[in-house]
Amino acid sequence: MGETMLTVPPQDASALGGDTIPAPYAESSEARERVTFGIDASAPRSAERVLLALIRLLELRLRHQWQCVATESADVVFAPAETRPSGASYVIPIGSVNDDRRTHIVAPIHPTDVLYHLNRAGDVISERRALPESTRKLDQPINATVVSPAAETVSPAVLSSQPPRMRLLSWPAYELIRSDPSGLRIATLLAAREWSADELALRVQIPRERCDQFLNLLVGRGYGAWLGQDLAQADALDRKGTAAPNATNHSNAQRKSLVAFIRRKLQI
Amino acid sequence: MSEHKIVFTGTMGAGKTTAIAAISEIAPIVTDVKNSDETLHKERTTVAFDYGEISLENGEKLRLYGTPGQARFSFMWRITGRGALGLIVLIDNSRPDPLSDFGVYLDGFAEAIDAGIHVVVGVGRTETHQSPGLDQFAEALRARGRIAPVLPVDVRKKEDVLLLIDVLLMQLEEHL
Repeated sequence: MGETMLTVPPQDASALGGDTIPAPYAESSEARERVTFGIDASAPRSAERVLLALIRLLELRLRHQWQCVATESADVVFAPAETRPSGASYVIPIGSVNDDRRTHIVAPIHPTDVLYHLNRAGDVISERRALPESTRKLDQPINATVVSPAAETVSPAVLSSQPPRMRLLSWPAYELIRSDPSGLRIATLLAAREWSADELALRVQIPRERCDQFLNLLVGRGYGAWLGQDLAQADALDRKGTAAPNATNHSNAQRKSLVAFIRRKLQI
Repeated sequence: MSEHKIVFTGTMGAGKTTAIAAISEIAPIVTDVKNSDETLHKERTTVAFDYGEISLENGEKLRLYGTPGQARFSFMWRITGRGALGLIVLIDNSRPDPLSDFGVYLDGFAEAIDAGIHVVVGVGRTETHQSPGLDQFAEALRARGRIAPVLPVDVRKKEDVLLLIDVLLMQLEEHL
Protein backbone atom coordinates (compact mmCIF):
# COMPACT_ATOMS: atom_id res chain seq x y z
CA MET A 1 0.00 0.00 0.00
CA GLY A 2 1.33 3.47 -0.85
CA GLU A 3 1.93 6.34 1.50
CA THR A 4 -1.00 8.38 0.24
CA MET A 5 -2.78 10.22 3.04
CA LEU A 6 -6.55 10.36 3.06
CA THR A 7 -7.52 13.96 3.49
CA VAL A 8 -10.74 15.19 5.03
CA PRO A 9 -12.05 18.60 4.00
CA PRO A 10 -10.96 21.12 6.64
CA GLN A 11 -14.49 22.15 7.55
CA ASP A 12 -15.19 18.59 8.57
CA ALA A 13 -12.04 18.00 10.53
CA SER A 14 -12.07 20.73 13.12
CA ALA A 15 -14.05 18.92 15.77
CA LEU A 16 -11.62 16.10 16.12
CA GLY A 17 -8.52 18.20 15.88
CA GLY A 18 -6.97 16.93 12.68
CA ASP A 19 -7.52 16.71 8.97
CA THR A 20 -5.48 13.72 7.95
CA ILE A 21 -5.59 10.01 8.39
CA PRO A 22 -2.26 8.58 9.54
CA ALA A 23 -0.15 6.38 7.34
CA PRO A 24 -0.69 2.64 7.67
CA TYR A 25 0.93 0.86 10.58
CA ALA A 26 3.99 -1.10 9.65
CA GLU A 27 2.73 -4.15 11.50
CA SER A 28 0.44 -6.57 9.81
CA SER A 29 -3.13 -6.85 11.05
CA GLU A 30 -2.24 -9.90 13.07
CA ALA A 31 0.47 -8.03 15.01
CA ARG A 32 -2.06 -5.64 16.54
CA GLU A 33 -4.45 -6.46 19.34
CA ARG A 34 -7.77 -7.77 18.14
CA VAL A 35 -10.92 -5.98 19.19
CA THR A 36 -14.41 -6.83 18.01
CA PHE A 37 -17.23 -4.51 17.10
CA GLY A 38 -20.86 -4.83 16.20
CA ILE A 39 -23.52 -2.51 14.88
CA ASP A 40 -26.84 -2.56 16.67
CA ALA A 41 -29.77 -3.74 14.57
CA SER A 42 -31.63 -0.51 15.26
CA ALA A 43 -28.90 1.61 13.66
CA PRO A 44 -29.84 3.22 10.34
CA ARG A 45 -28.82 1.07 7.40
CA SER A 46 -26.98 3.98 5.82
CA ALA A 47 -24.85 4.45 8.94
CA GLU A 48 -24.14 0.74 9.08
CA ARG A 49 -22.98 0.66 5.47
CA VAL A 50 -20.75 3.71 5.87
CA LEU A 51 -19.25 2.42 9.11
CA LEU A 52 -18.47 -1.00 7.67
CA ALA A 53 -16.93 0.55 4.58
CA LEU A 54 -14.83 3.02 6.52
CA ILE A 55 -13.59 0.48 9.02
CA ARG A 56 -12.51 -1.74 6.15
CA LEU A 57 -10.76 1.18 4.45
CA LEU A 58 -9.05 2.24 7.64
CA GLU A 59 -8.10 -1.28 8.62
CA LEU A 60 -4.35 -0.80 8.55
CA ARG A 61 -4.47 2.70 9.95
CA LEU A 62 -6.19 1.85 13.22
CA ARG A 63 -4.22 1.06 16.35
CA HIS A 64 -6.07 -2.24 16.80
CA GLN A 65 -7.25 -4.98 14.54
CA TRP A 66 -11.02 -4.62 14.30
CA GLN A 67 -13.31 -7.50 13.48
CA CYS A 68 -17.06 -7.31 12.96
CA VAL A 69 -19.05 -9.80 15.04
CA ALA A 70 -22.58 -10.13 16.37
CA THR A 71 -23.37 -7.31 18.79
CA GLU A 72 -24.02 -9.78 21.62
CA SER A 73 -20.39 -10.81 21.68
CA ALA A 74 -18.76 -7.57 20.55
CA ASP A 75 -16.32 -5.56 22.66
CA VAL A 76 -17.63 -2.35 21.13
CA VAL A 77 -21.08 -1.67 19.77
CA PHE A 78 -22.23 1.20 17.57
CA ALA A 79 -25.82 1.98 18.52
CA PRO A 80 -28.27 4.85 18.17
CA ALA A 81 -27.87 7.15 21.15
CA GLU A 82 -31.40 6.48 22.36
CA THR A 83 -31.06 2.70 22.43
CA ARG A 84 -29.66 0.57 25.21
CA PRO A 85 -27.88 -2.46 23.85
CA SER A 86 -27.32 -4.98 26.56
CA GLY A 87 -24.10 -6.79 27.22
CA ALA A 88 -21.72 -4.50 25.33
CA SER A 89 -18.79 -3.31 27.36
CA TYR A 90 -18.32 -0.13 25.30
CA VAL A 91 -20.92 1.66 23.23
CA ILE A 92 -20.24 4.31 20.62
CA PRO A 93 -23.49 6.24 20.26
CA ILE A 94 -24.74 7.19 16.81
CA GLY A 95 -26.12 10.64 17.34
CA SER A 96 -27.87 13.37 15.44
CA VAL A 97 -26.27 16.22 13.62
CA ASN A 98 -26.21 18.46 16.69
CA ASP A 99 -24.39 15.98 18.88
CA ASP A 100 -20.74 16.37 19.76
CA ARG A 101 -18.54 14.43 17.35
CA ARG A 102 -16.20 13.61 20.20
CA THR A 103 -18.86 11.62 21.96
CA HIS A 104 -21.07 10.48 19.09
CA ILE A 105 -20.75 9.23 15.55
CA VAL A 106 -22.61 11.85 13.58
CA ALA A 107 -23.75 11.91 9.96
CA PRO A 108 -22.09 12.59 7.63
CA ILE A 109 -19.64 10.10 9.03
CA HIS A 110 -16.03 10.95 8.27
CA PRO A 111 -12.93 8.79 8.44
CA THR A 112 -11.35 10.96 11.15
CA ASP A 113 -14.39 10.40 13.36
CA VAL A 114 -14.24 6.64 12.96
CA LEU A 115 -10.50 6.62 13.53
CA TYR A 116 -10.86 8.74 16.66
CA HIS A 117 -13.66 6.67 18.22
CA LEU A 118 -12.22 3.27 17.40
CA ASN A 119 -8.73 4.12 18.61
CA ARG A 120 -10.17 5.48 21.82
CA ALA A 121 -12.44 2.48 22.33
CA GLY A 122 -9.62 0.10 21.49
CA ASP A 123 -7.37 1.71 24.08
CA VAL A 124 -10.03 1.35 26.77
CA ILE A 125 -10.67 -2.28 25.88
CA SER A 126 -6.91 -2.96 25.90
CA GLU A 127 -6.49 -1.32 29.27
CA ARG A 128 -9.39 -3.29 30.66
CA ARG A 129 -7.94 -6.55 29.36
CA ALA A 130 -4.69 -5.73 31.13
CA LEU A 131 -6.48 -5.70 34.46
CA PRO A 132 -6.47 -8.76 36.70
CA GLU A 133 -9.06 -11.35 35.68
CA SER A 134 -11.22 -10.85 38.74
CA THR A 135 -11.45 -7.13 38.18
CA ARG A 136 -12.20 -7.53 34.50
CA LYS A 137 -15.17 -9.78 35.05
CA LEU A 138 -16.69 -7.40 37.51
CA ASP A 139 -16.11 -4.60 35.10
CA GLN A 140 -18.09 -6.04 32.20
CA PRO A 141 -21.51 -4.42 32.22
CA ILE A 142 -20.40 -0.99 31.13
CA ASN A 143 -22.48 0.76 28.58
CA ALA A 144 -21.99 4.30 27.41
CA THR A 145 -25.56 4.94 26.46
CA VAL A 146 -27.23 3.29 29.39
CA VAL A 147 -28.44 5.52 32.14
CA SER A 148 -30.07 2.50 33.53
CA PRO A 149 -31.66 1.17 36.64
CA ALA A 150 -29.02 0.17 39.12
CA ALA A 151 -29.92 -3.47 38.61
CA GLU A 152 -28.25 -3.39 35.20
CA THR A 153 -24.99 -2.26 36.67
CA VAL A 154 -22.99 -4.61 38.81
CA SER A 155 -20.82 -2.35 40.89
CA PRO A 156 -17.23 -3.55 40.99
CA ALA A 157 -16.56 -2.32 44.49
CA VAL A 158 -19.51 -4.15 45.98
CA LEU A 159 -18.23 -7.49 44.81
CA SER A 160 -14.55 -7.11 45.51
CA SER A 161 -12.65 -6.95 48.74
CA GLN A 162 -10.20 -4.62 47.05
CA PRO A 163 -12.43 -2.44 44.97
CA PRO A 164 -11.10 -1.24 41.66
CA ARG A 165 -10.54 2.45 41.37
CA MET A 166 -11.59 4.72 38.59
CA ARG A 167 -8.98 6.72 36.75
CA LEU A 168 -9.89 9.66 34.60
CA LEU A 169 -8.22 9.33 31.20
CA SER A 170 -9.13 12.80 30.04
CA TRP A 171 -11.42 15.59 31.17
CA PRO A 172 -14.94 14.64 30.01
CA ALA A 173 -17.05 16.47 27.47
CA TYR A 174 -18.97 19.25 29.13
CA GLU A 175 -22.31 17.86 27.96
CA LEU A 176 -21.52 14.66 29.81
CA ILE A 177 -20.55 16.55 32.97
CA ARG A 178 -23.80 18.48 32.82
CA SER A 179 -25.81 15.30 32.44
CA ASP A 180 -25.64 14.82 36.21
CA PRO A 181 -25.84 17.56 38.84
CA SER A 182 -22.85 15.99 40.58
CA GLY A 183 -20.96 15.43 37.34
CA LEU A 184 -18.59 18.35 37.78
CA ARG A 185 -17.78 17.38 41.33
CA ILE A 186 -17.17 13.75 40.44
CA ALA A 187 -15.01 14.64 37.45
CA THR A 188 -13.01 17.15 39.48
CA LEU A 189 -12.32 14.62 42.21
CA LEU A 190 -11.28 12.06 39.63
CA ALA A 191 -8.98 14.60 38.03
CA ALA A 192 -7.16 14.81 41.34
CA ARG A 193 -6.72 11.09 41.94
CA GLU A 194 -8.24 7.64 41.48
CA TRP A 195 -11.32 6.72 43.51
CA SER A 196 -13.42 3.66 44.10
CA ALA A 197 -17.14 4.03 43.40
CA ASP A 198 -17.95 3.71 47.09
CA GLU A 199 -15.50 6.42 48.09
CA LEU A 200 -16.81 8.76 45.45
CA ALA A 201 -20.45 8.24 46.32
CA LEU A 202 -19.63 8.94 49.95
CA ARG A 203 -17.49 11.98 49.16
CA VAL A 204 -20.04 13.54 46.82
CA GLN A 205 -22.91 12.41 49.03
CA ILE A 206 -25.00 10.82 46.34
CA PRO A 207 -26.57 7.36 46.14
CA ARG A 208 -24.18 4.70 45.01
CA GLU A 209 -26.41 3.80 42.07
CA ARG A 210 -26.29 7.31 40.70
CA CYS A 211 -22.55 7.43 41.10
CA ASP A 212 -22.28 4.14 39.21
CA GLN A 213 -24.36 5.50 36.38
CA PHE A 214 -22.09 8.47 35.91
CA LEU A 215 -18.92 6.40 36.22
CA ASN A 216 -20.25 3.96 33.66
CA LEU A 217 -20.87 6.81 31.28
CA LEU A 218 -17.29 7.97 31.77
CA VAL A 219 -15.92 4.52 31.04
CA GLY A 220 -18.30 3.90 28.16
CA ARG A 221 -17.27 7.09 26.45
CA GLY A 222 -13.60 6.50 26.99
CA TYR A 223 -13.03 9.18 29.62
CA GLY A 224 -12.32 6.81 32.47
CA ALA A 225 -11.08 3.31 33.19
CA TRP A 226 -11.23 0.99 36.15
CA LEU A 227 -7.93 0.06 37.66
CA GLY A 228 -7.19 -2.83 39.96
CA GLN A 229 -6.09 -1.73 43.38
CA ASP A 230 -2.50 -2.82 42.81
CA LEU A 231 -2.26 -1.10 39.45
CA ALA A 232 -3.78 2.07 40.79
CA GLN A 233 -1.26 2.27 43.57
CA ALA A 234 1.67 1.58 41.30
CA ASP A 235 0.54 3.97 38.63
CA ALA A 236 -0.19 6.73 41.07
CA LEU A 237 3.53 7.06 41.60
CA ASP A 238 4.09 7.97 37.99
CA ARG A 239 1.08 9.97 37.16
CA LYS A 240 1.43 13.69 36.64
CA GLY A 241 -1.43 15.63 38.07
CA THR A 242 -1.51 13.61 41.23
CA ALA A 243 1.77 14.92 42.49
CA ALA A 244 1.80 16.89 45.67
CA PRO A 245 1.22 20.61 45.26
CA ASN A 246 4.11 23.02 45.35
CA ALA A 247 6.20 22.65 48.42
CA THR A 248 5.38 25.07 51.19
CA ASN A 249 6.14 25.20 54.86
CA HIS A 250 2.61 24.26 55.70
CA SER A 251 1.66 20.84 56.88
CA ASN A 252 -1.39 19.14 55.47
CA ALA A 253 -3.35 20.09 58.55
CA GLN A 254 -2.51 23.73 58.08
CA ARG A 255 -3.48 23.53 54.45
CA LYS A 256 -6.77 21.93 55.35
CA SER A 257 -7.47 24.83 57.64
CA LEU A 258 -6.44 27.25 54.95
CA VAL A 259 -8.82 25.70 52.43
CA ALA A 260 -11.59 25.73 55.01
CA PHE A 261 -10.93 29.40 55.73
CA ILE A 262 -11.07 30.25 52.04
CA ARG A 263 -14.28 28.30 51.60
CA ARG A 264 -15.94 30.00 54.53
CA LYS A 265 -14.83 33.42 53.40
CA LEU A 266 -16.06 32.94 49.85
CA GLN A 267 -19.07 30.90 50.98
CA ILE A 268 -18.31 28.04 48.61
CA MET B 1 3.60 34.62 57.79
CA SER B 2 3.40 32.54 54.60
CA GLU B 3 1.98 33.81 51.40
CA HIS B 4 -1.05 32.03 50.02
CA LYS B 5 -1.83 32.91 46.46
CA ILE B 6 -3.94 31.93 43.51
CA VAL B 7 -2.72 33.01 40.10
CA PHE B 8 -4.97 34.00 37.23
CA THR B 9 -3.34 33.87 33.85
CA GLY B 10 -4.48 33.87 30.27
CA THR B 11 -4.81 35.92 27.16
CA MET B 12 -5.28 39.64 26.98
CA GLY B 13 -8.92 40.39 27.30
CA ALA B 14 -9.80 37.04 28.83
CA GLY B 15 -10.91 38.75 32.00
CA LYS B 16 -8.20 38.20 34.59
CA THR B 17 -8.65 41.65 36.06
CA THR B 18 -12.42 41.24 36.06
CA ALA B 19 -12.19 37.84 37.73
CA ILE B 20 -9.99 39.17 40.52
CA ALA B 21 -12.26 42.17 41.00
CA ALA B 22 -15.23 39.81 41.33
CA ILE B 23 -13.91 38.20 44.50
CA SER B 24 -11.27 40.52 45.95
CA GLU B 25 -12.33 42.38 49.04
CA ILE B 26 -10.06 45.28 48.20
CA ALA B 27 -10.23 47.28 45.04
CA PRO B 28 -7.79 45.43 42.79
CA ILE B 29 -4.44 47.05 42.30
CA VAL B 30 -3.82 47.15 38.59
CA THR B 31 -0.77 48.01 36.57
CA ASP B 32 -2.41 48.93 33.31
CA VAL B 33 -1.05 50.91 30.43
CA LYS B 34 -2.62 52.01 27.21
CA ASN B 35 -2.93 48.98 24.96
CA SER B 36 -0.71 49.15 21.89
CA ASP B 37 -2.05 45.96 20.32
CA GLU B 38 -4.48 47.21 17.73
CA THR B 39 -5.86 43.76 17.10
CA LEU B 40 -7.34 43.79 20.57
CA HIS B 41 -10.38 45.92 21.18
CA LYS B 42 -9.24 46.92 24.60
CA GLU B 43 -8.11 50.32 25.75
CA ARG B 44 -5.77 49.31 28.53
CA THR B 45 -3.85 46.17 29.38
CA THR B 46 -1.90 44.80 32.35
CA VAL B 47 1.90 45.02 32.19
CA ALA B 48 3.06 43.79 35.61
CA PHE B 49 0.25 42.14 37.48
CA ASP B 50 -3.14 42.70 39.00
CA TYR B 51 -3.50 42.15 42.66
CA GLY B 52 -6.43 41.51 44.92
CA GLU B 53 -6.75 39.90 48.30
CA ILE B 54 -9.11 38.18 50.64
CA SER B 55 -8.67 38.28 54.43
CA LEU B 56 -9.02 34.98 56.20
CA GLU B 57 -10.30 34.41 59.70
CA ASN B 58 -6.86 33.47 61.03
CA GLY B 59 -5.52 36.86 60.03
CA GLU B 60 -3.74 35.61 56.93
CA LYS B 61 -4.54 36.74 53.44
CA LEU B 62 -5.25 34.91 50.24
CA ARG B 63 -3.58 36.90 47.51
CA LEU B 64 -4.94 36.92 44.00
CA TYR B 65 -2.49 37.67 41.24
CA GLY B 66 -3.35 38.31 37.64
CA THR B 67 -0.44 37.98 35.27
CA PRO B 68 0.07 40.18 32.24
CA GLY B 69 -1.42 38.42 29.23
CA GLN B 70 1.22 39.09 26.65
CA ALA B 71 3.92 36.48 26.17
CA ARG B 72 6.66 39.12 26.28
CA PHE B 73 5.94 39.36 29.99
CA SER B 74 6.32 35.63 30.50
CA PHE B 75 9.15 36.14 32.99
CA MET B 76 6.42 37.46 35.30
CA TRP B 77 4.49 34.22 34.90
CA ARG B 78 7.28 32.15 36.35
CA ILE B 79 7.72 34.51 39.27
CA THR B 80 4.05 34.62 40.19
CA GLY B 81 3.55 30.89 39.64
CA ARG B 82 6.09 29.83 42.24
CA GLY B 83 4.50 28.62 45.45
CA ALA B 84 0.95 29.26 44.28
CA LEU B 85 -1.92 27.19 45.62
CA GLY B 86 -3.35 26.99 42.16
CA LEU B 87 -3.43 28.36 38.67
CA ILE B 88 -6.53 29.49 36.82
CA VAL B 89 -6.02 29.81 33.08
CA LEU B 90 -8.54 32.03 31.35
CA ILE B 91 -8.87 31.73 27.61
CA ASP B 92 -10.78 34.05 25.30
CA ASN B 93 -12.40 31.80 22.72
CA SER B 94 -13.09 34.71 20.40
CA ARG B 95 -9.41 35.15 19.63
CA PRO B 96 -8.02 33.82 16.35
CA ASP B 97 -6.30 30.73 17.75
CA PRO B 98 -7.36 29.98 21.34
CA LEU B 99 -5.70 26.57 21.39
CA SER B 100 -2.39 28.08 20.44
CA ASP B 101 -2.91 30.72 23.14
CA PHE B 102 -3.54 27.94 25.62
CA GLY B 103 -0.30 26.24 24.65
CA VAL B 104 1.61 29.44 25.32
CA TYR B 105 0.38 29.54 28.92
CA LEU B 106 0.97 25.86 29.49
CA ASP B 107 4.53 26.39 28.30
CA GLY B 108 4.92 29.56 30.31
CA PHE B 109 3.82 27.85 33.52
CA ALA B 110 5.49 24.53 32.75
CA GLU B 111 7.75 24.84 35.78
CA ALA B 112 4.83 25.27 38.17
CA ILE B 113 2.71 22.68 36.36
CA ASP B 114 5.50 20.12 36.49
CA ALA B 115 5.83 20.84 40.20
CA GLY B 116 2.20 19.76 40.58
CA ILE B 117 0.34 23.04 40.85
CA HIS B 118 -3.39 22.55 40.51
CA VAL B 119 -4.84 23.96 37.33
CA VAL B 120 -8.33 24.94 36.27
CA VAL B 121 -9.10 26.21 32.80
CA GLY B 122 -11.92 28.69 32.18
CA VAL B 123 -12.86 29.32 28.58
CA GLY B 124 -14.76 32.51 27.92
CA ARG B 125 -17.06 33.65 25.13
CA THR B 126 -18.01 30.07 24.27
CA GLU B 127 -21.59 31.07 23.63
CA THR B 128 -20.61 33.22 20.68
CA HIS B 129 -17.50 31.28 19.69
CA GLN B 130 -18.07 27.55 20.04
CA SER B 131 -14.93 26.42 18.31
CA PRO B 132 -12.59 25.16 19.57
CA GLY B 133 -14.72 23.11 21.92
CA LEU B 134 -13.87 22.61 25.56
CA ASP B 135 -12.87 19.05 24.71
CA GLN B 136 -10.05 20.32 22.58
CA PHE B 137 -8.57 22.20 25.51
CA ALA B 138 -8.88 19.06 27.60
CA GLU B 139 -7.17 17.11 24.85
CA ALA B 140 -4.34 19.67 24.71
CA LEU B 141 -3.82 19.16 28.42
CA ARG B 142 -3.97 15.42 28.06
CA ALA B 143 -1.34 15.56 25.34
CA ARG B 144 0.94 17.12 27.94
CA GLY B 145 0.16 14.43 30.46
CA ARG B 146 -2.20 16.52 32.55
CA ILE B 147 -5.88 16.23 33.33
CA ALA B 148 -7.52 19.34 34.68
CA PRO B 149 -11.03 20.74 34.78
CA VAL B 150 -12.02 22.78 31.74
CA LEU B 151 -15.14 24.89 32.17
CA PRO B 152 -17.00 27.54 30.25
CA VAL B 153 -16.86 30.79 32.16
CA ASP B 154 -18.20 34.31 32.11
CA VAL B 155 -15.94 36.19 34.48
CA ARG B 156 -18.43 39.03 34.73
CA LYS B 157 -20.50 36.64 36.81
CA LYS B 158 -19.19 36.25 40.31
CA GLU B 159 -20.68 32.77 40.60
CA ASP B 160 -18.62 31.62 37.61
CA VAL B 161 -15.43 32.90 39.21
CA LEU B 162 -16.36 31.26 42.49
CA LEU B 163 -16.95 28.00 40.65
CA LEU B 164 -13.41 28.12 39.29
CA ILE B 165 -12.08 28.65 42.81
CA ASP B 166 -14.34 25.92 44.19
CA VAL B 167 -13.07 23.41 41.63
CA LEU B 168 -9.50 24.43 42.35
CA LEU B 169 -9.98 23.95 46.09
CA MET B 170 -11.63 20.58 45.52
CA GLN B 171 -8.49 19.38 43.81
CA LEU B 172 -6.30 20.82 46.49
CA GLU B 173 -8.33 19.10 49.22
CA GLU B 174 -7.77 15.72 47.65
CA HIS B 175 -4.04 16.00 48.13
CA LEU B 176 -4.18 16.85 51.81
